[in-house]
Amino acid sequence: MNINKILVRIIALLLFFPILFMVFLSLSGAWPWPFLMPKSISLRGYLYVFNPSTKILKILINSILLSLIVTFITIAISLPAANALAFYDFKGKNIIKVLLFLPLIVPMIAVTMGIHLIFIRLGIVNTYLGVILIHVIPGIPYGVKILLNVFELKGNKIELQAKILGASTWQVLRYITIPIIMPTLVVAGSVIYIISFTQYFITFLIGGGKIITYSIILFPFAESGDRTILSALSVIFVISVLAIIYLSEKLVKKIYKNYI
Amino acid sequence: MSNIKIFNVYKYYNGRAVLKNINLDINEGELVVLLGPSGSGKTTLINGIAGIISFENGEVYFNKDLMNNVPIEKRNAALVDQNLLLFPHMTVYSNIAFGLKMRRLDKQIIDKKVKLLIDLMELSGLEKKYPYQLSGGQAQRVAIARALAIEPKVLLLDEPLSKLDKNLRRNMQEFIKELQKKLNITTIMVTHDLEEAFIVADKIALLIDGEIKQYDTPANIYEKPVSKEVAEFFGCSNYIYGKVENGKFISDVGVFDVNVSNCQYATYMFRPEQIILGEKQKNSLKACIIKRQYLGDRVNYIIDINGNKLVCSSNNKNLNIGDIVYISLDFDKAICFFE
Ligand SMILES: Nc1ncnc2c1ncn2[C@@H]1O[C@H](COP(=O)(O)OP(=O)(O)OP(=O)(O)O)[C@@H](O)[C@H]1O
Ligand SMILES: [Mg+2]
Repeated sequence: MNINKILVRIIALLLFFPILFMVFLSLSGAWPWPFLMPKSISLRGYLYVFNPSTKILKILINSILLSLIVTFITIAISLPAANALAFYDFKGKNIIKVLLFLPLIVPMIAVTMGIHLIFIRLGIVNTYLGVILIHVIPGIPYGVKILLNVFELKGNKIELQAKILGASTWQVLRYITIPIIMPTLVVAGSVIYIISFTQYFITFLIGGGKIITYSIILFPFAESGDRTILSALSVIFVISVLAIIYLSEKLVKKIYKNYI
Repeated sequence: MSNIKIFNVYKYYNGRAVLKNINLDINEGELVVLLGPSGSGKTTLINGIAGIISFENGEVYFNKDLMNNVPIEKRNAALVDQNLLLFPHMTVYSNIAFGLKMRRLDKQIIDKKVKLLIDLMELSGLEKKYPYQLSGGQAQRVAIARALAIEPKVLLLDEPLSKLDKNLRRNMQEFIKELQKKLNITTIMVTHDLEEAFIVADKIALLIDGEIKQYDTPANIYEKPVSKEVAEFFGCSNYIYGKVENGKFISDVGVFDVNVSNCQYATYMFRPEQIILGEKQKNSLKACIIKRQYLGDRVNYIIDINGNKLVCSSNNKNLNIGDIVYISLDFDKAICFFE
């Protein structure tokens, strides 16, 4: 076995172990120290999650939809932005490149505080629209950066060829760029989705406690210390994210096949 | 179909002029070969005509229409790039149909046109293949078919045959020439292969260091080069230096009757095949063979006349180093440069 294969296995194990531990925890009844295994198995955590009176499932679905919308909007903004940064020369290009990464450098809380005031004026605090917009901000740097790298690597010769054959800017995007960078779009989309799905504080601030996402219900359990329920919630969290990424990849591939 | 006029074009990269004062007039239906060494600006010029890059100075007209500010997609000038740039995610059929689909033509009309091109370019059976499944020659034909599909006003081919082996290349040259004449599309084709240029061109524009050194028919550019630079580009040449006085050219090689006026510095140029090896005659010169290069269909002999070395090319393969030969020089057919 060469070093690469060993490394991959170590990394997989390191990633897998906490998840396995979480699954154990979520199914455990009593698990006092110093036992290596829980003393009993219990479905209490999952029963709580799936109990309609807790509305957790409904919140989960809402959160997924919200994050999917955020992902679409973020990609829709990142795509032309990365395209312009890669292929056009204009004044202030470098400044814009730096500004785009600001949300990564400045804490999101500070950014959100500022935007909160604007949103109050616009009347979109405590609304889905407000939460969606605030979620787009931390995703943009990732979306732009990932796509910019690919555009710079790939160049735009193929796109120019499409133009020569008479395709409009919109047709080039639809028939050439998007299909060719689809695998990268899926990666960028997954990252953006996860960023949105895990936002807690900014959702709370802009949503004003009226817009409840899955991450928001997760945090009180982390505080209260009911580790079984917290773990069950976390397992569902992980499964939902994996499922969404998997399904969207499948869907995207299918659409992309018919598209050409 | 359209004529092309290129007027006073300049292009700079990082302050360096890559194209200088380019002027070209191309008639409707003509095939002009843009010939020149690597880095001479051929791709730059052809890309500018297609609209992919813009020129700092000068004008490009198709018919009477100024193209400078017309966007790429509206120019109807189909460029086949050096790298072909087939769409990797589309089949051969979809690649060829692309331009028509973008024009939102009726599906049946598209189908008819694409099938016609597939027949014409001898691509039947490959419709459902993807670009990575094609051979170099097939890919090149798909790229040309895709360009022809949009019935361009102007066809621009940037070394379309560079990746083919010699035999396929010859076939494709014939093919392109015939097709171009049949469809009567004004065409500019880039190459740095001399033979290819002679085979396909109606006219050749020789580009060296960003300047057009001569723009003429293949015969004229070879037989009547306007400068030594042009002459040298088309292969090995012999120069005889001397002066002209009272109808006589006086040089180290000998004194010859010529039909030009007096000149202090004159240079006569002979192509290797213009130096005829033969029997001793009235005006022949005695020479000695000092080197022999066997080239298969002919032999190049390097000969010495009074200490001057000349290269001559001959079908006679029976001469050897050290042989004494007699050569004749036809000064009426030779090219004279005055300096
Ligand atoms: N984008 C660019 N930026 C800077 N210099 C460039 C650029 N494109 C071309 N050049 C320069 O312009 C000159 C002409 O290049 P061009 O590609 O037109 O040559 P060419 O005649 O097509 O050569 P080849 O036969 O090798 O394809 C070269 O010196 C090249 O380095
Ligand atoms: Mg080139």
